[in-house]
Formats: sequence, C-alpha cells, structure tokens
Amino acid sequence: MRINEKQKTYYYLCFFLIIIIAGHYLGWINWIENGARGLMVPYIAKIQAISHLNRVSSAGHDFTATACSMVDENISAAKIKLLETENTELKKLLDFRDSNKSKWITVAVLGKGLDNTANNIIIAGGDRDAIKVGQPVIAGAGVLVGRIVKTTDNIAIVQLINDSRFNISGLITNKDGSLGIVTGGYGLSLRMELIPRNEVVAVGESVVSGGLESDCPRGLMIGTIAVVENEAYKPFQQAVLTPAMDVKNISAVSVLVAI
Amino acid sequence: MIFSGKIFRAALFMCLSAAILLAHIFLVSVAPYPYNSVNIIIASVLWLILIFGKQSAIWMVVPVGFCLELFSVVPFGLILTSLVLSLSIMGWLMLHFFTNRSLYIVVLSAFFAIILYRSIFISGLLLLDYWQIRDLSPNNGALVGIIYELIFTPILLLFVYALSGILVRRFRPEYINFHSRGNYGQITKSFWRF
Repeated sequence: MRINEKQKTYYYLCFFLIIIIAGHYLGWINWIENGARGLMVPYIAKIQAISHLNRVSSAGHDFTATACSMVDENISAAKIKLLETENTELKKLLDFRDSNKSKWITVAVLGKGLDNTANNIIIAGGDRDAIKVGQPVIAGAGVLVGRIVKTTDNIAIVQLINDSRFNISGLITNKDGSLGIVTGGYGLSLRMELIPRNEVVAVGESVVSGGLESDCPRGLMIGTIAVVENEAYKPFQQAVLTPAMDVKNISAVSVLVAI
Repeated sequence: MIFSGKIFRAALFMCLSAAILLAHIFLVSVAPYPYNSVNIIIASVLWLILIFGKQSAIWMVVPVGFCLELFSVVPFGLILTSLVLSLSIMGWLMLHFFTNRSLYIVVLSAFFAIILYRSIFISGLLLLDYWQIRDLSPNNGALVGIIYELIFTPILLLFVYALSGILVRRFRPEYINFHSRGNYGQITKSFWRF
C-alpha cells in the first residue's frame, strides 16, 4: 500500500507529537523548554505592563480629561497612578507580613496565564525560592487570591480564586462559624457551597479560609456574602460571594512558603 | 534554488508560528472578558487551510502548542494533542467533505473545530481524574468560557476570511495560477455564495 503526501503529513505529525511528549517526560528537551520559557517571559511581562497601563489610563481618563488634553500628560498621569497602585499594594503586603509569623515570599506578577478559558497568573518565583505546588497566594492585606499549581525553576503558575477548577474550604464569620467549600468559575463572583441549612447566614458577612487544607492557614480573607440561596428541598444552602479583591489588577503577590 | 526555497519556507513557517503565538498572548492578556475567549490559534490555522488548501498548515500548531504547554497547568501534552487531533480531523474534513468555501462552511468549520478541541481536552482531563493522576476536572463555570469561545472564534474567522476574500478580489487573483497555489480560485468564485 502506497502512502500519499497527505497521509504522510498526518503520520509525521503523530510521530513528532509522540517525540515531543516522550522527550518532555524523559527530560530530553528540558533545555529547549527552558530556552523557550526564557524567551517568552519578558514578552509576557511587557504585555502585562501594557495591559496594566491601559486599565489605569482608562480608569483615570474621566478624572483628568478636562485638565490634561495632551497625550503625554495622560501617559505620565497613568504611570504615576500605576506606581501609586503598586506602592499601596506593596505597603499592604508588607504590613500583613510584619503582623504575621508565617514565612511569606513576595514576588512580582509577570502576566496572565496563556490558557484563555482558565484564570491563572504567572509569577516571578519558582523552585529556587522554595515555592511549591499547593501553597496559598495572597495580595494586599492578606486577601487570598489563589494557589500555586505549577512550578519551574524561576516561575510559578497561580490558579486564581475565580478559576473554574479552584476550590478551598471557607469559614463564614457568623456566630455559628459556618464552614463550606468556596469555588470559582462564575465570572466575577465566587460560590460557597455545602453550608449546613440550619445555620444562619446573612448578606454582608465575611468569608475567610477555613484552614482545613494542610498548606493554607485559617483566616485569609476571601470575600463577602452577596446572596444566600437556601432552598427547602436541598440539604445544604449556598451563597454567592463578592471577592475581596479584583484579581485582574494585581502586580505583586506573596506566597506562603512555611506556616 | 531548491535550498533557498526550503529556507524561505522554514523562515515563513517560523514567522507565522511566532505571530500566532504573540497574537494569542496579546489577546489573552489585553482583551477584556469575554472577548479574550477567542481561540486565535484554531482560527488562524483554519484560515490558512481555507486560503491555501493544504493540510500542512496544521504543523503551525506544533510550536505554538508546545509554547502554551510550558505555561499550562494541565499535564504536558494535553493541549498539544487536543490541538493537533482536532485540527487534523477538521483539516481532513475541510479538504475532503466541506470543500465548498462559502461563509456558512467557514463558520461551521470553526464551530466544529472548537467543539472537537474542547471535547478532546475535557475528555483528557476527565480520564486523568478517573485514573486519579490529578484532580483537574472543571465545574459548570468552565462551560461559560467554552461557550464564549464557540461564539467568538467563528465570528473572528468569518471576519478575517471575508477581509482576505475582499483583498484577494481587489488584487485581481486571476493572474495567480490556482492549480498550483491552492484554493484562491475557490474563494473568489464561491465567497459570497450563502
């Protein structure tokens, strides 16, 4: 049986695919992977900077529209605003670190993850900084923003709290101290499920991490309750949460490396 | 001459792959939600298959998919395998069954390619969960992102295909030898046929 050119393409593709996957798991192509990562990281960081600048610029546009008519002034105003935001974020992180006995490492956010259906960010710290899979990631004054899901030598990937695969135990600060599971994947909001039906949950109450996971301490801020759904035919009630922080605009985060 | 032709093709291949990858990173980072759900990789490769009529355009996803794997949370190989398999199947269908190049087919091809890609991808994740390798199964919220991807990717492909069709018509493609250069002839003849 003769193989024509079209079939050859498919055979070669399959062969190449097998070689790449086998090469990765056997460690043959580590040097190519590291090289490609090294080439891409600066570009991702640059795009992240542009994206931040655009957001700050558009936010501050209304405020400065009457005063600043020149483009240069707008750009410098956006840059100052960006620096102010970063400064405030870092100050909050420092305050939290000083008041907390656990060991935290503060790293810069390089950019968004490349999978468009997942909510991940890439941070500038990895195995070298003792960052490991499962460690919690915070921003601001102790707000839980995600968890480490992958590490390499010098970068790590954080699964954000609003990702569809994210789940963590949550504790409501009501008189019962209700426990539940907080999950992401619902756009801007989060959901808290498996809250016992007989416990009273009110809108506006805060939700913090429950501390049931070995890596994550109790008491990291997650969000506040926006809606409570308590249906008569369901064994558990659930709640919609408003996250304590907009995870899109983070420029620096801290990773808990030792409790 | 043959050697320089090969070098030119290799350079073109690398430039196109890099352009697709950079466009993907830019879109994911800068475009607002839900517009960042567009799958620019699938749209670009389908556009190349539609324009040039050659399944070798699928090679483009190998370097792009490899780079995505480096920053991905899912086990290495899943994105690459899903991309290559879905585009190989779709490419074969487009060259043997959906040979008409009307706008309906363009929209349908992008739609089916995304469905194939996500089906293979999610099946892979569920299999890994089943074998207890890693708990990565998405919840219902992930479906929303996929629905947006299904809506916006065909629209992007339609727009780019329509634009390229207009350009090809303006630059008088009758001077191009269609038999040796692929499907340009088909574009101009059946482009506006709904």
